[in-house]
Amino acid sequence: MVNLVTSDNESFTVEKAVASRSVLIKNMLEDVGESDQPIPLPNVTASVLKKVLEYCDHHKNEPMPTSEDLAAEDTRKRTTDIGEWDQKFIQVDQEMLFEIILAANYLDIKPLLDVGCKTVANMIKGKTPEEIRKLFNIVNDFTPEEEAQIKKENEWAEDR
Amino acid sequence: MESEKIPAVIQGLIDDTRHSLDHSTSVAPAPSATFDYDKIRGELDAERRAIETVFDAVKAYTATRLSQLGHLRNQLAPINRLPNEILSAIFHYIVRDDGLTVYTYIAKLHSLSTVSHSWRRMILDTAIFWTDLTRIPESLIDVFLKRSKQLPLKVSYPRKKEFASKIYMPRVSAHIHRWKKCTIDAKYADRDEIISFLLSPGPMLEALDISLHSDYVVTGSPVASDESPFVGSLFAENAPSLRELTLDGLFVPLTSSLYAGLTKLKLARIKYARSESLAEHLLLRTLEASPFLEELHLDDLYTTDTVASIVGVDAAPPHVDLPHLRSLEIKRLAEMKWLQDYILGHITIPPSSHLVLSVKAYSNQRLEFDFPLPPTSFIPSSPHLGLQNLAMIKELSIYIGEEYECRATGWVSGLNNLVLFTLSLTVMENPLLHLFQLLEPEFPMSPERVIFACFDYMDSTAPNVSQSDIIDFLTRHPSIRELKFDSFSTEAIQVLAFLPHRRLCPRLETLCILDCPISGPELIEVVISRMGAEDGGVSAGGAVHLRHLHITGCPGVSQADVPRLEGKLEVVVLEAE
Repeated sequence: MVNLVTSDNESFTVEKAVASRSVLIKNMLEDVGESDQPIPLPNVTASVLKKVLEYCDHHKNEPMPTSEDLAAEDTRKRTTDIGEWDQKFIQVDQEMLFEIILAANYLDIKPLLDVGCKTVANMIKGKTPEEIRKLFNIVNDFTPEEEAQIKKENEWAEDR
Repeated sequence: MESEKIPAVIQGLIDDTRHSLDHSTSVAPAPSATFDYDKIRGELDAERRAIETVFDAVKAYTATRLSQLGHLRNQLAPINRLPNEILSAIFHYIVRDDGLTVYTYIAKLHSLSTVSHSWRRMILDTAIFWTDLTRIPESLIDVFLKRSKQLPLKVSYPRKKEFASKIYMPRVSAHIHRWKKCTIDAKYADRDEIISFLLSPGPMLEALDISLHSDYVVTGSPVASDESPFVGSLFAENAPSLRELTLDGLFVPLTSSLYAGLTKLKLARIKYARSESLAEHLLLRTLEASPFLEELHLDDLYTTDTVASIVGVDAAPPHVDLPHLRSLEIKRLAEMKWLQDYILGHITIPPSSHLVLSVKAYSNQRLEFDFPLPPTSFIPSSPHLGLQNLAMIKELSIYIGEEYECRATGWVSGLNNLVLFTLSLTVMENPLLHLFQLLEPEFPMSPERVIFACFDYMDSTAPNVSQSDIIDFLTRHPSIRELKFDSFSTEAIQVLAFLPHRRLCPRLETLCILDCPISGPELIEVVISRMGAEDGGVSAGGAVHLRHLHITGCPGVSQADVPRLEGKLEVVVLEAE
């Protein structure tokens, strides 16, 4: 078993197979060897780690993606398809969604990072800039002159 | 600030502005009069100028300040807490999905870039978004080249010749050192001009696909010939990263270093007329230089009799092991059989490889046509010993299609139906006979399940299927345990009753009839002939009795026929379509 300590000082004891879905933790375990010492995770809060561990537990028996898999993914056409379980798992509020993405990035859990990124991509797809701003609580910070300039840059598309 | 105070503040601004304008643009005093219209007009104009100046200044200030505040506020938006590389990955999923056209792709980029300053800056600064120069409009060529920074590029020769040769290629070829993928689909007549853009080193080039077509040559005929090579060396013979190469209608000497280290190679519609082109087994040496080859396609390659007679004379051909090959496809005219044998006879492919052979014979050509004739010592007596995949095949489908085409497909069941062998044949007369002749004895297989299928037989004229051809084929495959006839002629099914079953399909246990015109009595006669009186389902000579019969969608067979078969077979399934 592995003991993980979050930024808000909460401890989680999990199977090694679950914790090792994180390449960061896996490497730390390999570097430290057999040890009872807790692993501090200063960038992850307890509520987020709980969700991340839920994902890792569900996928613990799947093969880890190899560097060849990752390279192949870069070259082939990317799709935003998400598995059924993952879709349900990632149905969280925006705040938690971004926290999960940040945690997956920090903990180096590439499949979870992909699920998070694809989810955000699917939220954005098909929306106008104004709809995107509204969705993510962003304001239009362009001046009218800048907007006019941007519109001019894209005139080629309107002329085609 | 309370809103009622705003007019007073603005008036104060206007007064100040007017005061400063009065000093800067002093007007000459007007002559005194009871009503000095010019003076009044001048004062009104001064007031207007002051208001306009204040308005413009307030407008400019508010726009800038709002922008600044918006920018600060956006930094606090939850999504903007994601680091740039993650946002960039998200954008990549959005713009790269669904096989977008270039216009949709750029429109999506544009849309994302107009959400906020930070998103715009990120999109413009993420070089990977600007590396695909396929079909981009003229106005964006330089934009893409600049924004892609030093990243590798994807280049595609435009369809409009004038644009391609005068605008696109001159600008894009200046960056040839960072081409990663290059696709050219053009007319053969433009070959030399196109090549002139491809003469500098391509150190990052990984995939090159050149297909040249002629207006005057029928499909499948050679376009390129070694008798008219182009001047210069493609990529100055310097493309060390090249892994995928297609040369369709373009001759590049087989001695070129471009052929080394490939994982995919396709050569198509090239005529080797000069003896040195193929002499000393250069084609095999070419394969030898790419031991990691995964896909090999040789389509419509031609030689002359001179070349054929020279190849193989000087030295023993090498034997090439291609342990990573997943797909080997050879498409040829009937008379180029020797070239197919030459290749297949000197390579070893892994058991999981898919071998695809496609043969075309026009008019009344004989398939065994062997002109030009190579030396007899040239092709091994057992030319296909290296085709390890054939032994894996347990299922074989024989399909007669429309337009003089028929096809044999062999696969392994249980491995996601992994297809290992496909032989397509287009011939005017008796395609099934020719298909059988091509299969045997050259491609020895021991299928346990064989399917005979025909295109929509029930609604069409019956294709000419000879019973003796079927009998010959079945006799050569005693391993068959299951036979399926799908939309096939009654005559073909009836051959099962012609010979004692110890001589024809002695292991046949299952017979499936699908959408066939056979009648009930005809079927019963066939089935009974496959039965034996002995116990245990095995008759004299080790032959197995028919045990299972499946009938689906056969209008000539009815429920009334089934009782006559019950008790004779373990399972009779009659299903209506």
